Amino acid sequence: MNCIVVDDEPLARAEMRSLINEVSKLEILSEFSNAPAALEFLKTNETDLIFLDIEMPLVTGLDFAKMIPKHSLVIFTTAYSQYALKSYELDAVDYLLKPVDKKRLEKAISKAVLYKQLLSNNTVKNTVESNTNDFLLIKAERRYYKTNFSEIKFIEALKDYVVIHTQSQKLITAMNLKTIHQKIISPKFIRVSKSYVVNTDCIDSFDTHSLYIGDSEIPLGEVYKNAFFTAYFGDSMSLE
Amino acid sequence: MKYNSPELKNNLLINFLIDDRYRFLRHLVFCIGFFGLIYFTRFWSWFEDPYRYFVLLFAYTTLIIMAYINIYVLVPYFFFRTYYVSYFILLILLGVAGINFISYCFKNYFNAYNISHIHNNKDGDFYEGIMMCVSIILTTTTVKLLQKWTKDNKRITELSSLTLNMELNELRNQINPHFLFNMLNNVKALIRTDPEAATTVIIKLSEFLRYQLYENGEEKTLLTSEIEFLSNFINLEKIRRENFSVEIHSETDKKILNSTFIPPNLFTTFVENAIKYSVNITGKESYIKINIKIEDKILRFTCVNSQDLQLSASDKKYSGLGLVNIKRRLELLYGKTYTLNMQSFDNEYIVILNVPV
Repeated sequence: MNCIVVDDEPLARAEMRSLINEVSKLEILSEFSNAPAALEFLKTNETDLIFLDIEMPLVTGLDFAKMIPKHSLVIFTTAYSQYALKSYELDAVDYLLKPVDKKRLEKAISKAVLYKQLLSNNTVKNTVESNTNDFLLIKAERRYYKTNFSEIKFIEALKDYVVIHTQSQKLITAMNLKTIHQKIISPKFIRVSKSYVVNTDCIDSFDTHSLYIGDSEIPLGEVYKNAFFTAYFGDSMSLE
Repeated sequence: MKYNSPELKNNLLINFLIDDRYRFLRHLVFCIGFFGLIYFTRFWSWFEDPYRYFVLLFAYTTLIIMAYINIYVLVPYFFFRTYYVSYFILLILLGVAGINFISYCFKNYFNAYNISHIHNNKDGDFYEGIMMCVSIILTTTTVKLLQKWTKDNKRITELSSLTLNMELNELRNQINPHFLFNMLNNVKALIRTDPEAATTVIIKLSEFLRYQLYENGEEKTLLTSEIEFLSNFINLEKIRRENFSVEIHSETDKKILNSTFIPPNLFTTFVENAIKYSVNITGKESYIKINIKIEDKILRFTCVNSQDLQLSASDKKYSGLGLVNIKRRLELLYGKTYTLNMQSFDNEYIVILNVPV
């Protein structure tokens, strides 16, 4: 698996390079100080993963992320505060705060590696064929696999796909989050951000801007926050 | 809902009286209403049938002209400029002149058509005219006053919220967290590659923070420490960028620099802008040169930076707020005794600020 680093600060790029080399076997193809140069590179070079700074002159990382090829995954790296960052509702594998913690980077990279595997398997041709009141049928290679609603922890949007996180595995299917959310006819599933639908039964803990399911942290989107808390608690409790 | 309705009506009435949207309608209502008022007076019934309408129209036009003179000349140019005595004298003159003009015309041009021969009721005629004038003046001036009062109120609220916003921004700008965390990240990188440089950066960063935390709140600061701060600022920025050179110096004697006090952060906005706009997107060489000197009790601050026109053109919409604030601050501090000159050339931007010390 290969990657590039995009950051306008030379030292930040150097730091990222050494950290990546320390914790992973990723091949660093190149590094860029601005988004247009990186975009030019991506046109001719198959790139799996992009470490992307947000605050850059001319074209910000957020704008850049919208222009990159579908198969490239993005990990944002930024000095912005965690809270401000979450409100962006990023369509990314992960986001890292500078200065970057080694363990945190390791976790982000392994997530990216996993998603790369999911995307490269044929399973992306999976379709959700039918639905009833308590399970989904996911069609993969002419066979239907039954997935009970109660087994689904949460569903994550990734590019043009959704990743269904169940108790035992991760399933990927070409579909947008809204469509699959409509297919799951259960009040327990609530949209919590641009990229996540969660099964409320599986939530282990939460604070005002994140939900925690197992070892996954799921950001609560500003737009969805109030609706989520209302649905989760009823009208009786408001959180501030 | 029931309780809301009087308030709502009230607002509607006030909106109708002050809002620019209803301007035409407002004037229409006034003109028609005033016509109604004059229609029910007696004087024009003294005249012969077809001509009485001319009389009515003539008196109406004259009074309307008087009313508009009051609204658009007397009130704004005298009353609102606090020339109350002149206002009242002119108002009385206007009233007297108007009524005399009407009665003069009645006598000389319309008298032939006068069919009422009990015209000795001159006092009643006169009082009617006076009452008419008083009512017009009262309504129009009141409405004008109300309009001005609401507009002023709105302006005061806007001003105070602007001040509040500026203070808030200033607080936020004291330490830019984005800058701070990026600096920490750079230090982390340097520790790996060049521990000596990392030490220097930490020292500079500490001084920079100390100034921002403690000196920033003071009313005056030493010119030397301000220069030191700017030097730290641009040198820290230099670490973040490639192909970037910075230079800050002063030809003025150290003794003078050490004994001159200036308000803190007077130049920061200009330096921030220089940093922002000197970024060269293609990685070509960029620079900032700062010069500070004192001559004849005038402090001259010069900041020259290279600029990438591609970048400054795309970023136009964001610029300006910091400059507006610093200009306002300079005005408050120095009135008309400072000069600020900002010029943009092809590849260079120059700021020259002169303030008395």
